[in-house]
Amino acid sequence: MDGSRVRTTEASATDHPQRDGAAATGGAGFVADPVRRADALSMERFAAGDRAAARDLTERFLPLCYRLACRLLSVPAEAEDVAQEAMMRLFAKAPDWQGERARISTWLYRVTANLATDRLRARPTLPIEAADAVPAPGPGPEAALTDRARLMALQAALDGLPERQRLAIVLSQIEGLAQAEVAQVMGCGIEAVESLVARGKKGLAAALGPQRGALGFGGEDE
Amino acid sequence: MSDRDKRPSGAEEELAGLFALARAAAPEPSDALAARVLAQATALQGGALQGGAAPAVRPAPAGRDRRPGRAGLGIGRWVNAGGLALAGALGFAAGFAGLLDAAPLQTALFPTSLFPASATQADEAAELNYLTEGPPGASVLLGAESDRAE
Repeated sequence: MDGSRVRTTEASATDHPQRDGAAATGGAGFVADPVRRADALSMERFAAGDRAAARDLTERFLPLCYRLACRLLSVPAEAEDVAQEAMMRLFAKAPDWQGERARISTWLYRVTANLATDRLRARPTLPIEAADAVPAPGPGPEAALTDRARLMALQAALDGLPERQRLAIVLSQIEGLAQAEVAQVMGCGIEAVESLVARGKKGLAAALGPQRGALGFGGEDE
Repeated sequence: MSDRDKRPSGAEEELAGLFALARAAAPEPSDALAARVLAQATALQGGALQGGAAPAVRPAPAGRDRRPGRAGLGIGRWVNAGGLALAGALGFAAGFAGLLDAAPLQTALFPTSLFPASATQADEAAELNYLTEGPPGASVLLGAESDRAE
């Protein structure tokens, strides 16, 4: 396991090492970043009791929480619990949401990662049914089988990585976040993220190496 | 650099392919989960609308603010400082008067009708006598005792 860990307090999720120069006021009024401004407006509407805002926030952000939780936990039932908890924390935060401090997505990635990390630490061993989190790919039965096998192998290899390497890989390589945003989510510098990703990739390659032939990657490792 | 160190370029491509596959096959939350979350969200909103939670931004009170304003606070501070200065001056005067003679200050501050000078002096004399000579009549007894010892 990595020495340092993602801080697990919900309140810490709004701390950001790289703050922009926006005025430190609540609400959407002084937020320069258009995404943050839109987020703040949604949160204001939600706090004011707008049901459409509740639906909008759920549709936009629940998939994000669930995806990340699935990839970190590998167990859909646990991922559902974590995603639901993360969304509840977001809704509870709506009345005093500070739009200039973070995007909702960044905040949620961090809260979800913290909740998932807590879950991982609470359970003694990796679950046997880890591959349940891998959805069945779409095209052709044979290709689908190969893809499913590859996804299962990837998930198993991810599960074997240290927590922070796994989180860095999932956020940057699978969720497609920029390094700066990954750094914000993880509460570290960009260099640290680069290092975590590099080490994570090395770990994945080492874990997947023996299965290259079985996964259709051109033969067994030499 | 060993062969094993060079190899990750091919492995990098394979990993990139796997990551792309994972992105394409992103797990989606079930409708039941979405419905649960939405129900909880609206319940939370309902609670907030009924006054269960604090409003987003606490509104300013509609009526007149009864707390002292800046000017009021300023005046209050001057009154406090004045009171402190007066108490200090009185204390200084009392101490200074004590060095010279306490009687003028006592008579100045308290009417003599309350503390007749003769009565207080008599009391003080009686108390001193009691301490040095014992209660009234003790001197006689002590004298008798000493006589007997002799």
